[in-house]
Amino acid sequence: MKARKIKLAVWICAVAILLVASLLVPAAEKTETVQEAMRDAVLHDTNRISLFGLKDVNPGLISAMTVTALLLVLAACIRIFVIPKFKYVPGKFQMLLEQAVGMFDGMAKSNSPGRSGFLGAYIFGAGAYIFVSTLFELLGLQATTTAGHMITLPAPLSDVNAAIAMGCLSYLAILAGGIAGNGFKGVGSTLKEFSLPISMSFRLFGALLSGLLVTELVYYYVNLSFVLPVIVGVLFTLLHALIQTYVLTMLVALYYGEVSEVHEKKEKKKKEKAAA
Amino acid sequence: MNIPLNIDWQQILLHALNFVILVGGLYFLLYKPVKKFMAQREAHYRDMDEKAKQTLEEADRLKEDYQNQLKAIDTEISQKKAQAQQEVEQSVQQQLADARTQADKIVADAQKAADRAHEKMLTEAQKELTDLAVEATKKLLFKENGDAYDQFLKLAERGERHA
Repeated sequence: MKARKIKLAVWICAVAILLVASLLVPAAEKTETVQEAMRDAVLHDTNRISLFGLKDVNPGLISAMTVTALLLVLAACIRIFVIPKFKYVPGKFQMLLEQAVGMFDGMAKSNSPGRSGFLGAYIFGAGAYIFVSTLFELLGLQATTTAGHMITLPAPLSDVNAAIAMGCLSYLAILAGGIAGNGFKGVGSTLKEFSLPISMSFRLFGALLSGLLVTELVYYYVNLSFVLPVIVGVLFTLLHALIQTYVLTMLVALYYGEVSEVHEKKEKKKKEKAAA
Repeated sequence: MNIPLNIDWQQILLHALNFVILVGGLYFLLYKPVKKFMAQREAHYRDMDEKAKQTLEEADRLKEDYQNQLKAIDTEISQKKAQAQQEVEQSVQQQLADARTQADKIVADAQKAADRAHEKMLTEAQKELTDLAVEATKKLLFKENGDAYDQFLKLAERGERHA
């Protein structure tokens, strides 16, 4: 009982000391105003990072490449060390992997029963990318800009270029499904949804950017840095990751299923005529 | 041309390339092997299920066979029972007939024995009657001459000898 009281007192003292210290110690001199920071978060025209000395790119691209590398390394490790040891009665991690694969496979099969192979693989990749890349901003990895400043790498999809790439690729995947399912007619039915790439791109961009801007705002002011980041930084980001993953994969699966569905109206009519 | 929002086609393509590499890598490293394993397990359990069904069918068939055999055995048993019953009845009838024959024989023998006894008794009775008649005759004869014993005693008293 006494030991517990001592631990509690130590913890309260530590919190109080850190609170007072963080309020008394002056913050580092800001290199940019909040307006500049938020403008840069949207446009990425100030803080750029050199891509292997070849070209200056937005930090989002570096984040995307880092996420890809992390995911591929993790996948390779799982492939080499975990999957060969899979059992018919799964453990916790195996169950998690099977649940993830089974969820996207099931989504693909339920939306496009005839052509679920490619769709399942695509939405699995897209889902993993959106989920991990959204959570990536929580890691707070640092990078040096071309101007020599240190910045935290943002979520890749808060970069409009990444969102456009994702939207357009998703649209192309849907188009491929349309061609595979219905040939030229599939192209027509896909082109009817011409607003899809724009809506998908900007939905992702808007969602991720809003999160980024709120986070930037919260972290810009010291006074907002108590308690609030736990909600904004962790809970919102986690929810955000789940919702955006679900929305994009579900939309792709729905549209893919719709355009790749084989229509047999003409054949039926011909058969009816022949029967008459 | 200055594109709004700092859109850069080259970076879009780089993002697309990055994403395509990721999708391909994840497909070959994670999605395909896990799906393959899941399909393999599904096939394993389907096989087990089919085998169990086959075993159940086999068991049902065996059960039906045994039930048929039991039915056949029951029929056979009832037939044998009926046959045995019939045989027992025949045996009983035979034994009854034998007993009756034996009883008739015994009765006949008894009748014969009784007849013989009757004959014998009659003969003895006749003989006895004859003896009685002789005795009576003798008595009658002795009565006329007095009692022989008394005569003897009288003679003895007189010291004479009976002639």
